Amino acid sequence: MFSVLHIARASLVALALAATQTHASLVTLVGATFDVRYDDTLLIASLFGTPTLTGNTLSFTPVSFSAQSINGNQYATKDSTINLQLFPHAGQQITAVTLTERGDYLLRGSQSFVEVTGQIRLFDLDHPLNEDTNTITAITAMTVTDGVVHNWQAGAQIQVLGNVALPGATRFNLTLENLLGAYTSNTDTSGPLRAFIQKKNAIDGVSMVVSTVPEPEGWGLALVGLLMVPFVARRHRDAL
Amino acid sequence: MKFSKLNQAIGCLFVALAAPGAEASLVTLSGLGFDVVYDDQLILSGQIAPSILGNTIVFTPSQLKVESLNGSGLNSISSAYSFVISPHDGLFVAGIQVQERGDYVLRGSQSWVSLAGLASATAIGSAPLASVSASLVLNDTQPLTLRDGISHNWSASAFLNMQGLPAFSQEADVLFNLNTSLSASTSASDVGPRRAFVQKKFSGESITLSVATTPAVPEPEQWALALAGLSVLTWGLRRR
Repeated sequence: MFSVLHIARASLVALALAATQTHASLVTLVGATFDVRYDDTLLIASLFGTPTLTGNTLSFTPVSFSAQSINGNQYATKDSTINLQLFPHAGQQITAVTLTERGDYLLRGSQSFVEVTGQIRLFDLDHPLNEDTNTITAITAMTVTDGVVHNWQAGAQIQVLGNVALPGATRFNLTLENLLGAYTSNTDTSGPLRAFIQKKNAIDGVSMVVSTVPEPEGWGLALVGLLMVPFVARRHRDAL
Repeated sequence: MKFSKLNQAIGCLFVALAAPGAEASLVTLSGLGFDVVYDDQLILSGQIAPSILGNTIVFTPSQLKVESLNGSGLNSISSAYSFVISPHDGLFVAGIQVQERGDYVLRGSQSWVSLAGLASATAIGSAPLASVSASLVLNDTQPLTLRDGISHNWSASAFLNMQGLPAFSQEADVLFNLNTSLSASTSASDVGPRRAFVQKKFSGESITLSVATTPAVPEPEQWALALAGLSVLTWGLRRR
């Protein structure tokens, strides 16, 4: 009997070793109502860097996510893509994923411009072909060409609850892609030409709010509990 | 005590066996009715982490992208990966549905992006070698021509049908191979901002299994093994 246990234990150790070798860089962050899992190596190598999870908000602090074009050398771009997995806690349901991005830009030259695009993409971890995407769009117009730093903000959102593209989905893979572009024209003769855009390396550079609600069964259970309170109270009173 | 030492030795052997396996980087994932074996090093060099979700093998690459800017002409990138699908006893691989997804950004009237790919499945050990292949085709009939500088989706698919092919229906292990090539081009003769970007972010291979035509009758060696096991068991019980 001992021998069987030993073999079992030894092989378990061997398996565990093998497993850690293949998934050495998987990290799990525990939030208020959901967990986030990601591959540490891939995120460190990305322009986003690794996130922090506070409550229901996931924040990135990119340090070198910027693009610049000067003197009419046309387009300069920067892009980065990462994957995160979202797991709601027991009794919780993810209702929406909302992305907000902030940064600054600076323009000189009548034909110079900066732009931000990209998308968020959610697919169901249980039915991976069920997915929905939303394009990241600028909320602020980035058109002030005075050579002074101005703020910009962009966002994207995917509603999960009632989404026909994600029927019955509970756990998700989130792909976040960001593209920055800066352009100065080689035919622009309006003077000094410069276009610069960056995602700020502040705590609010890129943030994602994952909204959750208790599952319907949870509500039902709570209702039953509430209904029982007066009944129990009366029984208690009668007993006294 | 003597026995436990022996077993520790066996345990060490397990570890030793596991270690070279890790060096060769062969990884096995278990799915419903099938296993997938792939070379970790080969696939991860393209920064792709596969997983089995339901009956689908999913890759979420974050570096498979190509860009052309400012009339620099054509740029392309290609990726190839292969894995072995090993159906469980009594089943065979009857079909593989390949779904590839990503996005693109275009600016400039002569800028374009394109993708091409080929999926193939080969029955391992079949002679003559039985193989099925299919080209990736864009799902949307609309070409990738939205030149507004904003990220847009693309998706492409291929279907490998092995139903009715004798070499596959005998529970054969199947070598799956997928080549995808992405191209982006901006023209030197074009004027104005020119940008072409295309990225692949998702690849899913859904496996359809069918019940093998040949019933799974235990081989003579298996009968012998079972008999040996039974005799050892009776001997052990009698000793006790």
